[in-house]
Amino acid sequence: MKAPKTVQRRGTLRYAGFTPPTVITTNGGEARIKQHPVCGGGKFHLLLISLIQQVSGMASRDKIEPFPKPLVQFWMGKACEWSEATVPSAQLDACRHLERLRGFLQEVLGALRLAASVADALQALPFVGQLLGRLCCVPCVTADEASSTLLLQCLRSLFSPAPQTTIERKANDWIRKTMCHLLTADEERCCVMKHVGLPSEEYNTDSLTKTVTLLTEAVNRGCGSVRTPSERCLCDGIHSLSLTCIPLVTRPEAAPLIGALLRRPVSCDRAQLSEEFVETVFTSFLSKKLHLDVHCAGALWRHSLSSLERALFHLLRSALSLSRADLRGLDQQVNDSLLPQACAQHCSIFLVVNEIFRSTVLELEESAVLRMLIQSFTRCFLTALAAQDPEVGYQGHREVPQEAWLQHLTHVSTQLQLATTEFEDRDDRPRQGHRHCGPTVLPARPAGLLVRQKASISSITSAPLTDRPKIASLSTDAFTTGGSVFEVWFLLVQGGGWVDVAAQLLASTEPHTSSSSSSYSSSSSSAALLWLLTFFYHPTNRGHQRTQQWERMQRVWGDLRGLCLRPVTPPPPHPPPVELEAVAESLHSSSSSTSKLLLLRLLLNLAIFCPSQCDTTILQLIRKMSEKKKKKEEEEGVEEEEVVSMRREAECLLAAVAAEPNSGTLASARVQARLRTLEDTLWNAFSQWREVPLRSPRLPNPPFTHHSTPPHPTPPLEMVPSVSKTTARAVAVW
Amino acid sequence: MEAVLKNLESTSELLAISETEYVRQWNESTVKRAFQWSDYCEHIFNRFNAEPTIRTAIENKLRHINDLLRKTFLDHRDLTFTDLGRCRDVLMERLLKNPACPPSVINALFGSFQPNDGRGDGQVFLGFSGLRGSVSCKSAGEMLWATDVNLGAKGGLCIKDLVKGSILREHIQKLIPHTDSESLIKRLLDSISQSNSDKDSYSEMIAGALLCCEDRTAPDVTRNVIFTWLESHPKTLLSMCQVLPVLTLTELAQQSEQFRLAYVGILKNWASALMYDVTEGEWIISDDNGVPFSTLTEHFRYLVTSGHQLEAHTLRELHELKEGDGGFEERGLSVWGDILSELSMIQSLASVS
Repeated sequence: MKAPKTVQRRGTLRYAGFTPPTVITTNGGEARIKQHPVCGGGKFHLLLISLIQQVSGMASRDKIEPFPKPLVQFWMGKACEWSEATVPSAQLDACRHLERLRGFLQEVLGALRLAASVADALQALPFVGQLLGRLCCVPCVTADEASSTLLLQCLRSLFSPAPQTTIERKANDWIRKTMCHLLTADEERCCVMKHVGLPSEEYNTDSLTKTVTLLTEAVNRGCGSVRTPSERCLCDGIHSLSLTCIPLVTRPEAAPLIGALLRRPVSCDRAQLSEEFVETVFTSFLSKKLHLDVHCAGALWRHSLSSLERALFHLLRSALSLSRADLRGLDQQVNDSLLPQACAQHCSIFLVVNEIFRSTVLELEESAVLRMLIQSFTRCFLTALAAQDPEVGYQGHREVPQEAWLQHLTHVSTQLQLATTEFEDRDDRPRQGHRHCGPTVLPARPAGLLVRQKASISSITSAPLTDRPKIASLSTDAFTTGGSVFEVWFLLVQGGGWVDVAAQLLASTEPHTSSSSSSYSSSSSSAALLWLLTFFYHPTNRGHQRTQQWERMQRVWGDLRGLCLRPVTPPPPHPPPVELEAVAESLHSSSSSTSKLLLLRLLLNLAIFCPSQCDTTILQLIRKMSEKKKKKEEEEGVEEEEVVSMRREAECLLAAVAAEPNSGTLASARVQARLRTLEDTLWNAFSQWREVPLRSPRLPNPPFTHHSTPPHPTPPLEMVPSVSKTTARAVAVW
Repeated sequence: MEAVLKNLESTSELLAISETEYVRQWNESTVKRAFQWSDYCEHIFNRFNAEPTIRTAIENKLRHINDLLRKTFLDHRDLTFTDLGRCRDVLMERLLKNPACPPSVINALFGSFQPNDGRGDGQVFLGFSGLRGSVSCKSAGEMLWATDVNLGAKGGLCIKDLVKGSILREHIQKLIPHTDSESLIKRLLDSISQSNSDKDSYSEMIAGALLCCEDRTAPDVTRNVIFTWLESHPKTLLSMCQVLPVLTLTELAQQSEQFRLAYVGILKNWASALMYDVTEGEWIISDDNGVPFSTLTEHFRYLVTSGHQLEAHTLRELHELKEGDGGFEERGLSVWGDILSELSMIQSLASVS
């Protein structure tokens, strides 16, 4: 016998306020119950009551917490309604209640298992016999595998292997009959089986598969073949069919029908799918109980915008709560979500996903993991796009020669400098009416695809699907101008590989020995690369103070170069401590957290790609930073977050480098060796900064209103109260 | 072979006992062995189902055993050859329906198809792992059968009949490559048409078997076999024509010339059973085999609007029959003439609307 406390912990405590129903409730269904052919619930039930009343003196009364009367009445009412009704609407009502019913049956089963004896169980839950008997007669309930399992388990809990009392014998007898009804075929079904000698298991599966095939054909046919207006539209019944499919959603036999329903074009107003069906499909897909192919997933998301938003938020959440940045794992996760593939197929999905990424990145600008996710997403998206249309060749970073990269990135940087100056100049001038967006500042190569992607976005913005508020219109006119800088910056975030390559190229530049013309060009391209990196971390002059940071970065980079890339060969194994201290001090003077992230990137890239061996120096610098951090951390809790974000940044940077093992431009063996050393040493250094548990960051609201589907009653995420406020704060920086 | 027949005899006895009082003496291990023997019978069925000689030998043996068992047990139900194919089902059903079945046995049955829930008696019997899924599968099928989805051009049959027909068709297809398949198929269809349990539904099942395939105009061996069988069973054919929707019959007539001839033959018989009542000014049924004039017209209406070939055939035949009766236009002189004028009236009404 188990302690009643366990029951209370399982959640029945909240029912404690109700008085135990010692007398059976005489609800409306009671009188009709007796006539029911199969469950025989009424008779058995009444018999049980009299028996319980006889034995109630013997049974101890404090074993199981009774269920609240209204709850029991509700489910009894439903069970009566469903088992007696002959109209299909009752079955559909049962489909709608399936999930809650499962929860209730689970509670009933828990309570039954706690009972010391069958008499005890029946006394505590006097409704149970009738409820189970009736539910066993409702096809919608028994069609759901989870529910039918629960029903069988409940029946088994009530079965006595060695019955002693009359009540136990009666209960056994009734359970035997109910099982017989559940497990054996009725005469009509039996017919074919009997004649062809087919076992019921095989017959049931076979007939379900065939039924599904026939219905799938009918659903696929659509209403195109209707000849005259008087003829019944073939879409009639699609809504109720989708409701009927709720218990079958996770059943492999039903997969073709589920897919056909989802993929059905919504050309006929009679062909609407039920919301409950879409919701069930979506939750089963997210919990991996249902496998959908890309076409079906895309169709699902086009049916319900909220499900698309939730799918993306699910991905965001799981990526942001990764315990350690793992690029391959992330790529896998992104691909498994089917979102990039669906984006490649449906422009509308792409637009929504892109908008959500934009608004998220505005909120979590410094999150390296988010940037890594967006990069991974873009990569998977481009791969999917290339797989779909071979003419759109997608070139990875590896295939581009180093010289081309240098030329390209220098060009990008120069163009960006011009463009940002132009934007900001215009922004400073007094406003005159509506402003146009800035010129396209994007390079043509090798970013051709991204440019096209961008072009496709802007070409589609006039399409009917974009009548939802765009992020750009959230703010004032000032943002619209800033929006152009944001667009460019966001493109850099999406194609984050460019920034990685820029940092690598910067760190691997050979030190110049003489003042030749080539050294001039080398130093100018280094400056361009450094500017690009500075822009990436400090895109604006409003909140990010790019101009000041740029001046500082030039100084710091000069110091670092002095320390690591000495023209004298070979460099001294350990730089003079005075110099090191000076540089370390200048690193510490960085004010903003973003500039620290930039410094970390520069340091790490130097440690990996610097032509001369300087990882010892870098590690010393990082260690010095960590020492200082420790002190600060004790002072301020805010610092903790900074440490976490730096650690994340380092993880992501190293993961990105590690993911490109065959980089032909660099001595890969050397890089690999350094990477390993760095990883080992760095985790020790970081772990000294106290392990901070990673919190899943708060995500912003989905930014859109739902046009076709009303919002789901329970929002999927802990929503930020006001989108516009929080987003506007982030937007103000731009 | 001797051993197989001996084993079948023991299993038959076992199954006979399972529905008597004597089952009280059974325990978990008895019932486990009983299920293992039933499983053996299913293997035997699958092995020899399409082997006419061995099958006949087994059937003779079963007949003999049933005779003996009937003498021993008053309420004995015969075990047929096809019962062997679903022997575990038969045993399960008999046990669950038998009030004398000991609770320990029922409890063991419960344990065999439920997930091991820590009670220590998980998978006791062989081959029951899918039974739980089968329960929900059965209900799922029933639910889908009840849906109100327009299947389009499926001969007016409902999903249930098409599915059952399709299973029957597959079974016949499996028999075709075997020697003496003709007699096997004949026996199968005979048993279906003679089954007392659901007199009305065999027509739908057979029609389902004929209409369920995708390409209904391509030549098909299975379909021809069924049509040939129907031709030699005029009673079955007649009851099909009485029971099935007119649309289904038209579809079948489109598929097979054999069926069309037989169907039109039945329609002619029905027509000959009509007599014109001058006082009422109506065609009335003169004997038990006939159908009302309106029903007959309905059959012809579907035939003449079904499509080119069938339409032309039927119209030509109707005109010939009218001419045979003298070709009078006056109402009440020829049933064929009246049907034709009725049809042209319906058509002109349809074209007006």
